[in-house]
Amino acid sequence: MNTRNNIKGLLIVFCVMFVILSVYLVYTTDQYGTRWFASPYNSRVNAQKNNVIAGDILDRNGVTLATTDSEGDRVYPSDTSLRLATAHVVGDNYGQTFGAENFFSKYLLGFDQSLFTRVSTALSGRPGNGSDVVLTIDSKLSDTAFSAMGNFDGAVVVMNYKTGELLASVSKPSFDPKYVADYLNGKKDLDSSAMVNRVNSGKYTPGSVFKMVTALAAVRYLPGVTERTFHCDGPLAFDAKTGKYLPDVHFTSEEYKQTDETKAGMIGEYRVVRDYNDEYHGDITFAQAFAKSCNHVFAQLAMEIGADRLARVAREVGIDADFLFSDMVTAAGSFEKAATDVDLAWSGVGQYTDIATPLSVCLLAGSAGNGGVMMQPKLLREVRTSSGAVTHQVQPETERRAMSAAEAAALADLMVQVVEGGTGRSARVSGVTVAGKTGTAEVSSDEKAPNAWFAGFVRDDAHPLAVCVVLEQGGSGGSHAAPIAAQVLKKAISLGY
Amino acid sequence: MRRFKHASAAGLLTLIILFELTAFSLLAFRNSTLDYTAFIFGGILVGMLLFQYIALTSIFRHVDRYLLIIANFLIAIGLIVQYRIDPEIAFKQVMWFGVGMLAMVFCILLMRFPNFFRRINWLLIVGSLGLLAALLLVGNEVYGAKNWITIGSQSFQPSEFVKVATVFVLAHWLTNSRDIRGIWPLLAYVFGVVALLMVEKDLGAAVLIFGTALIVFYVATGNKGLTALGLAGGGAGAVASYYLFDHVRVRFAIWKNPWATYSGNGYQIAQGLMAIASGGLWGMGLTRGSPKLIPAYHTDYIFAVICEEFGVIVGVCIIAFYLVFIIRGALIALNAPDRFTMLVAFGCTTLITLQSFIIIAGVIKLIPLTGITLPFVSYGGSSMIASMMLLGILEGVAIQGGETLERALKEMTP
Repeated sequence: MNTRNNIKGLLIVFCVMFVILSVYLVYTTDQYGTRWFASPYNSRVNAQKNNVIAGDILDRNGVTLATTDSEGDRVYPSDTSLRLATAHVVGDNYGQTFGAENFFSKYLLGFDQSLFTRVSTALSGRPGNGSDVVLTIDSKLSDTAFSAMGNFDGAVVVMNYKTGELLASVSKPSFDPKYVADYLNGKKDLDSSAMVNRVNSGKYTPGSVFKMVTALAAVRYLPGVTERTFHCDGPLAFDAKTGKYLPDVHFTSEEYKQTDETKAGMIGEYRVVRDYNDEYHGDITFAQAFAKSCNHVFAQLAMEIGADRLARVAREVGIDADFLFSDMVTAAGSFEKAATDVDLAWSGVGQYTDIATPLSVCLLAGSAGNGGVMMQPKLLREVRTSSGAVTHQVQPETERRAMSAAEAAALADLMVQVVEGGTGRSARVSGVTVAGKTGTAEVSSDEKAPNAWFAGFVRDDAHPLAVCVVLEQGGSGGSHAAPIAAQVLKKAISLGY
Repeated sequence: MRRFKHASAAGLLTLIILFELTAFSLLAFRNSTLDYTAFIFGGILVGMLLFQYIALTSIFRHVDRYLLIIANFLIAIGLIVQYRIDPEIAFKQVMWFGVGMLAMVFCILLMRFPNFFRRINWLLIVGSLGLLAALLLVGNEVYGAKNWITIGSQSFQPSEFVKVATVFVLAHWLTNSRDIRGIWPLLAYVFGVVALLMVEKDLGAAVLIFGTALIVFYVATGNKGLTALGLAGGGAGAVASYYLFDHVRVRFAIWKNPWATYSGNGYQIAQGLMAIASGGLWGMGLTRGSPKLIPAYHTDYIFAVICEEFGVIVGVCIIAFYLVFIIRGALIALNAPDRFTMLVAFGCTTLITLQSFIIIAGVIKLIPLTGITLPFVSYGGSSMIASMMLLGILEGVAIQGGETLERALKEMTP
C-alpha cells in the first residue's frame, strides 16, 4: 500500500533529522563550547571563582604569569614590563578580555576535571584547585618585542610556523592586569583600546604586505609572470568619474610633483595610483617590483588578475577568514571585490577597503615558509592538574593549505629578495636567511604617518620562525618595522627557537 | 516463554526507576537539612510509572511498553529538573501529570471507537478555529505571543489542543478522499489555523501544525507535486513573514548572531548556549548549574538546563529516546487496523517529531528559535495534557492493531 511506504519513507527522514540533531549538538559544543563558556557574560565563571582556587598561568619555560595568593587574590608578576608585555595573552580577572584568564577558565577553574574529582571536592567541603595552564609564549621574547616597539602602538607576533605555537604576542598600548579593577571603577585611566589584543583583533589596512597575496595570485593565474619585465613610469591614471584605467595617460615628473595636497589621490583631473614617496622604478622584473614594492606594477597586475580571482586567493590564504581556532578568538579581515579599475588597483596593493589582522598576515608569511601549509596558531602548551597530571598537551594542527608547495617556494624566493636587496634590508639577521615583505599602509588622507608593517619568516628548518610587526603611524615599513622584526628574530634564535 | 517476552522493556523500566530514585536522593541531600519531600516526590513518581505500566499492560496486552516507558522517562527528567529549580512548580506539574494520565486512559478508551472522532469532525474544526479566534479577543500575551486563555485561576494554551484536533481532522479528510477537490474544507481549515497562529505570533505552533499537515497530506496522498507546492508555499510564507513581521526578523537575526544583541533579544539564546557549553560532555552535575540564568528555563529552554546539569551525553540520550518513541509511533501506524487510525497514529507521531525537533534544534542554534514546549519534559499543564493525549491515542491504536492481528490469527488457526 502506498501510504505504508510513504510512512516508511518519512520515518527514514525523521531518523536522519534526529541523527543530525545529536551530531550537531556534539559538534557545536565541541567546536564552539570553549568560546561560549569563556564568554564574559557567563556568570557561572565568576561564581566558580568563589569555590575554586584558580590555577596558575605559566610561560613555556615555567615563568609564572598569574597565580592565586594565600588570600585568594589573583596576583601577577612583580616585574611591570613583563606584566605589560604579556597582558593580552594572560588577560584579566574581570572578564574584560579574551586572554588566558578567561579563554582558559575552563581549565583554570577546574571545569574540565573528572566527575570523580569534582564529586570528592564537593564532598570535602574545601575549595577545589583548578588546573595550571602553560602557554606557548616565551616571556623573555615577549619582553624583547615589547621594548623593541618603543613608543609606537601596534602589535608584534612571533610563531613557530611548523607547529603553530605562538612564542610572543605583544599588543600596545597595553594594560596592567594588576590594576584592571581600578580601570573599571575609574581610579586609573586607560586608553580605551588598550584592552584590545591587536595581534588577533586589530583590524589594519595591510598596505604593501598584501602584495604577498597579489604576487601569489599573479604566479598562479598569469603564467610566465616571473619572466616578465615591467616599466614603471610613475602613477597610473584613472578616469575620475568612472574609475576606468587610462593606459595612455602618462604624467611628466613636473605634473607628478605639482599635486594638490587637498585632493588626495588626484593629479589634475585624474585619479591616480601612486608609489610611496613618489618613486619611479623604470624597467624592472617581477621580482624587483616585489622587492621594491612597486605600486605601479602591482596595481597593473591586480587589474590583469581581476577582482574575482584576487578575492579567491585572498580568501584561500585566510585574509578575510572567520577563523575558529581552539586557543583564541580572532577578528576577520576583509577583501572586497572592487567594481572599478581604480579600486581594484588599490585593493591589489593593500589599500581600498582591505583589512587584515597582524596574526592573519603572520600566518600567511608562515605558510610561505612551511611549503604552503598554514598551521593553526596555538597558545595553550599544556594543562596540568593540581596533582601534576598533564591533561592536555599542544598538538600541531593544520589550519589549511594556503597555497601549493611550488607557489610557496616561488613566494618565498620573492620574499628573500625583499630582505636581501629590497625594501626589507634592515630585517636581515646574520647567520640565517630572512624572507619578508614590508608595508607602508596609508591610513587616512590627512597628515597622519602611515602604519609600518613587516611580515616574514626565517627560511631555515632549524629556526622555523614567522613574524609580523605593525607599528601604528610608524612611517615606512622598511625603515621602522623591519629592524624590529630583525631584533625579535635574533632574540628568538638566541633563545634556541 | 511469556515471562521473558518483555525482558528488555522490564530492563529499561528498572533502569529508569533507578535513575529517578538516584536523582531524587541527590536532591534530598542537596542542602544541609535532609529534604524528605524529595524522597516522597520520587516515590510518587516511581509509583505512578509502575502503576501505569502494571495496570495498562495487564488490562491491554498489546500496549506498547517502550512508548509508555520513554514518555515516563521524559516526564521524570522534566520533573527532576523542575524539582531542582523549585519544588513548588514540580508539585504543580506532577498534578498535571496525574490529569494527563487520566487523559491518556480516556484517549486509549476512545480510540476503541474511532468513528466517534469522525462523527465530531465538524465540531473539531469549528472548535479549533473558534478557540484560536477567541484568543484574538481574550488572549493573554506571554513572551510576545498571544497564546494563553485564562479562565478563573487557570490558564491554558489552546494551540496545544488545536494540534491534537488537527490530527483527527487531517486523518478524517484524507482517509477517503485522495482528490484535492474533495478535501477543500481541510485545506481551508489548515490555512485558517496557521493564519490565526501567525497573527497571534505563535510561530512555533504555526510551523508545527503546518509541517504536520503537509507531512500527513504527503503520506496519505503520495502527491509529490502538491506537497512540493505546499512546501514552496510555506517557504514563501516564511519569507513574506520575514518582511512583514518585526519579530520574525528579530528571530532570524539572533539566530545568525545571538551575541551581537546579548543584552537584548539575543540574551536567551546566548544564555542557553553558555549553559550547554558549561555543562560540557558530562554536565556540571545535578544542582550544580545555574539554570535560572536562562529565560523560560523550565518550559521552552529546559533542554539547555538538562544539558548544563546532566551533560551533552544525556542531551544526546534524550534525542535518542525521542527517536525511539518516533520509531515506535511509526510502527504503530504501520500496524494500525484501518486507514483512519493509521493516519491518526502517524499524525501524532509527526507532531511529537516536529515539536521536539523544532525546540531542540532552536535551543542548540541549528535553526532559528521558535518558542514551543519540549513534549513531556517542559513545565506546563496544557502541554503535558496534550502530550499525554497523543501518547494515549498512539497506545489506543497500538492496542487496536494488536487485537485485530490477534483475532485474524485466531481465525486462521481452528
